[in-house]
Amino acid sequence: MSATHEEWILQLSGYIDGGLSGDDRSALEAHLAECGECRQTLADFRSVVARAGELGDMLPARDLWPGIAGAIGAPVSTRGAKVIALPTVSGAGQAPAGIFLSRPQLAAAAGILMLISAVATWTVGPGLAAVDATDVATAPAQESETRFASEAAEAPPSLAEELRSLESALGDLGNGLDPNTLHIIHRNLSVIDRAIEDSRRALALDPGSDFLEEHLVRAWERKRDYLQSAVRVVEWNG
Amino acid sequence: MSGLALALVLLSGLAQPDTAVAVGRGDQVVVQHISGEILVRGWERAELEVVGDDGEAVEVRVTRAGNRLVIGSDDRRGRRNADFTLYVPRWAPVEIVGLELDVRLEGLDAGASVQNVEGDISVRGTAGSLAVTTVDGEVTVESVRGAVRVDAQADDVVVRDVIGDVRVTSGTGDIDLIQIDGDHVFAETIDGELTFVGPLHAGGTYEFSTHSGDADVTVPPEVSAEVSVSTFDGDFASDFPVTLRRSSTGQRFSFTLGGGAASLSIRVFDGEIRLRQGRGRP
Repeated sequence: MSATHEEWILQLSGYIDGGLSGDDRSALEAHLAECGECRQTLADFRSVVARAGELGDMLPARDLWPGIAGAIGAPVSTRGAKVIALPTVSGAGQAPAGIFLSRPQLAAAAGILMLISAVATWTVGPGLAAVDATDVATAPAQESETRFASEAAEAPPSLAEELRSLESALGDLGNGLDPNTLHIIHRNLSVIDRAIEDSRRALALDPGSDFLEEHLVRAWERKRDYLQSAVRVVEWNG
Repeated sequence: MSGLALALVLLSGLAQPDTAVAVGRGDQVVVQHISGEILVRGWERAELEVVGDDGEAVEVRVTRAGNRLVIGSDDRRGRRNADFTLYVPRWAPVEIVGLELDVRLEGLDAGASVQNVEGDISVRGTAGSLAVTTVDGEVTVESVRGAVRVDAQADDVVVRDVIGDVRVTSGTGDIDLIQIDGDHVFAETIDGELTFVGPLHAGGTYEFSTHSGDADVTVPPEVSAEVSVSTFDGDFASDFPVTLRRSSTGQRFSFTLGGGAASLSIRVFDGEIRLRQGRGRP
């Protein structure tokens, strides 16, 4: 198999999930034996999967752009609300041309590694297919309410350090919080994390989307803002 | 102060229990470390009073630190549970910090801030800057002249009849901004519906964003704005005649209403965007 480096990487998720055929698995293992970079990526993969206590919602079932493309440049009716009908994703012929994530991208955003499961799904059914969350192995949810699992390393570099610091502060200070308050904080953080994950997946499907890039960054900023608020709350009541 | 059951303990020793406390111009009234239900109401007198609800005794401590009159318990750990009405001069700014507080503010003219963890917060008929931060509880703001900032994490926020800039964020709650007359309006929720009704001023910026939920924006028919609409997975409906222009990349498009004097941005990851004509809530 004369696969490119990216193609080897794209197979790693299937390898972890046991979804590769015997030949593909053997070929990949042979490559892994020779390629330290892919071995490291595989280790990253496994680390992320192990930490994936909670996955986001299923991938949205529809993509806006195909539906509005025909409306570009065309006046929209003023008779009442004009709804631009959008096709469902299950239709044929809407498969992304392909996604190639570089090793640095993967390393910088380890969460995107989980997207490879989605890529594996595409090979079976093209299009912006919903990702079956069960394709990705999950670790048991974090039991300790006062620990705030950090994924700050996956955040934009400008936010990573601050997020790490805030998560640490909240973890240190949160021990004295009312359990219900802690529950609320965790719940809201999980909502934000889900939004981040949704955005990552969407961006992987449409890497050139400035909207999705901004949306993802904004989701991280929202998490930072939330953590700041949570830390303030803890400090008020500490 | 009929029916008052109040014990005011002034550390400064300047007043006896059951007396009102003088408030000077430049003083700030601060409520700290109280849990319960409190109503803060502005009045014309230059003093504050704490009145227990239903004649129940209220024992709080009032301390002065510089120009801050602090109403609270003896220490941070000794949080008191108390339900009371606090009368303050209309012209005195008010700050409230609580853990489990239901708060109502009425008739304050010099701005207020509320930082709370659990409990509903209601503000009505105030002027000056208003800032509310809460983790869990509904926030309702009505009839306010001045900038409004609300940071709610887990519940709905309703802001109605405001003259001034508005900034509202919520984690998992809906945001309703009804009859907002400001130059700069920003609302963002992660998991909730978003509604805006109001004019768009020339030079003004209006940004609405929800990750999972619908955005419903109603503006006057004669609106003049550059509009940017972005969504990953959703529908767009418009009462206005629009010609869509796609941005260079992604699921973002724009159009111009009237002369394009204001800037309106609506971003929805997964939900519907509706742009309506109107002057009131549909």
